[in-house]
Amino acid sequence: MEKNKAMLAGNRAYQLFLAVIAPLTVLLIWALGSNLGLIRASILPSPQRVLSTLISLCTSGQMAEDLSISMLRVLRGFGLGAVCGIIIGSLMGFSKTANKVLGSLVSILRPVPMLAWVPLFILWLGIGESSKTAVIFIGSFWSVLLNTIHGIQSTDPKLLEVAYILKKSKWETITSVYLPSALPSVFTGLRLGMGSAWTCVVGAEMIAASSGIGYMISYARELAQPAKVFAGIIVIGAIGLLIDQVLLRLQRVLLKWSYVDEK
Amino acid sequence: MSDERKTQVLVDGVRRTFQISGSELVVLDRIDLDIKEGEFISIVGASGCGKSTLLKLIVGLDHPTSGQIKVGERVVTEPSLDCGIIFQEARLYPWLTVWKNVEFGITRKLGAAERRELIQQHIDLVGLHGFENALPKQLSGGMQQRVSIARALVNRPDVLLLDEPFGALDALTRINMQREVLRIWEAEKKTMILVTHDIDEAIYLSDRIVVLSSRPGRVHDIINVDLPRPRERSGEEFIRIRTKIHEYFFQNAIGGSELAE
Repeated sequence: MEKNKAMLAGNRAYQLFLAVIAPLTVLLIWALGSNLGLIRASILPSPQRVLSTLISLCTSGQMAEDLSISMLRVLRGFGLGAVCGIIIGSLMGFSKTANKVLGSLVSILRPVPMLAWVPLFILWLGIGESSKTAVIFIGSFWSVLLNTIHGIQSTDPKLLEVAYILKKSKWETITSVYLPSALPSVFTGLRLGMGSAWTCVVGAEMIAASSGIGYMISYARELAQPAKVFAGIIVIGAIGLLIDQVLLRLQRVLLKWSYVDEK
Repeated sequence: MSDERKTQVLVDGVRRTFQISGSELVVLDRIDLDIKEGEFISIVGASGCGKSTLLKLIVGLDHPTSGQIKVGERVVTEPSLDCGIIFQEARLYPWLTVWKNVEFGITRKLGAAERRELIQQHIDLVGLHGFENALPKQLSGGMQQRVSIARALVNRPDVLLLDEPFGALDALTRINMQREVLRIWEAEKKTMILVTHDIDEAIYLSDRIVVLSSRPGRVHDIINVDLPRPRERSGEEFIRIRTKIHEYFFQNAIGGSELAE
């Protein structure tokens, strides 16, 4: 038992080592290059510079302000995208007719890159909050939609047959067979959707905004402040990772059954 | 046979054909069975003789091309709670615990206390006391099948159909489960109809064995097994019956090449 625990801990440490080795190497080369004067600071500031900029951005409250603005946009756009994705996805998953009618529209619109929508939305909705919400909405909508459809359609027909034999009502079949069976897939859609919502907010803010983390980066570029650009990029990456981890943990708790090991 | 007993399942001149690329394939033909209340009947036959189709017709998942099936006084047109079925796979809901899976079997409106009692009673019946909160994935194949039996019985059906229920289990678990089913049948006095390709299983469990021939599936013979239970698999009569059924399949060539021993 003790030995097992030690082995498990050793294995964990090894896994962690594997995960951090690549970023650490990049950081090391970067630090060496900058400090030995091999890389010009105007192109790539040293890690220390980036770190101190990051700290001052955090302590001054500017980062928190920009981040909270971006977050709010993400929540608004993602919330809308997730709700619409689940509703329309359920409709298309349950109804073959709805799937046929809307399927072609989906296949035409889905490949359009999120950023291609930006000019259109600015034209329609102006440069305010609603155009950004719309871009994020589009960004999160597709993956929620497709995964919801997939989740519902891949419900095991054998389990449906059992519900049919047990004379369950249509409503009970939906709530106790289709829904739980689709949930893992829906959750995957939500995670992907959240990831792309976060990407979209930054993109939208870089094109047309006067606040938010994306705007902060592009403004820093105009002022030739590479350390600030880098600090922004690092925060964007870190937040993206954090959000995904939170959702993953949530999924593990809510859908515990799908993580149980086979005996 | 004790023919005074009430008829529980009546299969009357049933024929089932399928259209396969324009031509008609006769799967079942002229099937007549009179199954009494509380009887244990096995249906044996080679793969593709239509024995599973027959169960689907009885449970109401499929409809005869001609002829009629009655469960009690009811003509079968769709599934009904008086007839439960167990499949080769346990078909449990992976997101529900053992308790909740069994509970899903109850479709009737019941008071909370009665409901709880019924569920516990059936979990105990299949010997899964203490596993109420386990998820299906945490159970072995045999235990999963026990849950599925509890789920089918908790509705208190008059008839229980078993469609090769132990086909996917290993030999030892299978024998164990046959004993379990026998015990449950003796305790519950349900009419049970078992489809199997395991001849020993059929002899071990049944009052009567229906031997189906293949393509088209017809009743070739119905064998009475008048042996006291539990039956000794190496007993003289047991072996005589086994030999008889073997001969049907391997010498009279009714299409038993794929039949398991």
